[in-house]
Amino acid sequence: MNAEPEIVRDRMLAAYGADIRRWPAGRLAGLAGLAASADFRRRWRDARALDRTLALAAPSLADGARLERRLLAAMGVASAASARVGRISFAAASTLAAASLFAGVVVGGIYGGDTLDRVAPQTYAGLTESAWEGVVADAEIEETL
Amino acid sequence: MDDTRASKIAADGALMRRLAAGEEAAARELVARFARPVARFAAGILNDAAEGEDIAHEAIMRLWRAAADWRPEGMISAWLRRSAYTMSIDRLRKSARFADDPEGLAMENAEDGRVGPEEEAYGGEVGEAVRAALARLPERQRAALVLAQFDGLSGIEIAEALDSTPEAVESLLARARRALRQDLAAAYEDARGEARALGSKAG
Repeated sequence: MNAEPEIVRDRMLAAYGADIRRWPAGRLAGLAGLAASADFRRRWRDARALDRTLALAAPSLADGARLERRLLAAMGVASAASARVGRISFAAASTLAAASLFAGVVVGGIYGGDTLDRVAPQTYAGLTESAWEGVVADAEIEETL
Repeated sequence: MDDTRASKIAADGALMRRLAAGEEAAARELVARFARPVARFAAGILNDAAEGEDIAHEAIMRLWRAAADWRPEGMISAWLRRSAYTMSIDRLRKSARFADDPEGLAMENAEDGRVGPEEEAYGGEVGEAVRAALARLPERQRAALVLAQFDGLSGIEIAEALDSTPEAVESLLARARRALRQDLAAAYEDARGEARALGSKAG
């Protein structure tokens, strides 16, 4: 079954969000140029805002190193001298961005962002870089209003 | 099956054989690769970091004990996540706490001291609101979203972990995102209304 490219694009956005790297590579063919649509740009910004808001709820671990030690002990394996792995504090990482992110879910989420800038062209197959630059540029214009 | 997936399955099979042979380095590799991701996944479903770690512990120990019986037809990550998902859902259903009072659980966690002082800042409140909204999602939608959003799994990998199909996973994800958006929009409107009311009193 071959769905219309617009339908595929909208389904991918609805399911996987704004980060094109998460879209299945096999579903990207034929989507070139579709990013120019104003309607898609609006929904892409909404999806990005939701992505960023969700990032605030990323589950953190109470003590990952302790879990690893418990497991190795239960397996009867001596714990190797482990490098200290710093835990990223969820709140510390999110506080500064929180207000705009939360509001962004509702008002369209046009704040900042470089997700598409960092996407390597080969990861989104037929989508041309220039098309995506249009998305970003539009967001930047609105940000300055 | 593509080459990458086939090679991952083969590599996982080799790791399981080393585990079955009692190789300590294999045990360390298993723990280093999977303990934290599986714990985070379970914590995302349960909305509880400590319980997520307990689930990960149990899932990995089950796999380790059954290493000799491993059949190299799938990936370790998918097996562990499927196992963690089943155990997490069992735990949720036994407690039934999310259905009753997701915010109450958040409060309980805060009283336990599991939430750091910085969580009291606004960012923490927003994160808590999002976690509560996640907790209100149906189980499979929540699990699919956690795997996609926080673990970065592909549709195929999520389908394997949830014993589903990529098409069904896309549908789960789309419904989850739509529901969250509506839920958070309502929360935002409530907060804005309260702020307006406070502003008019102050004025």
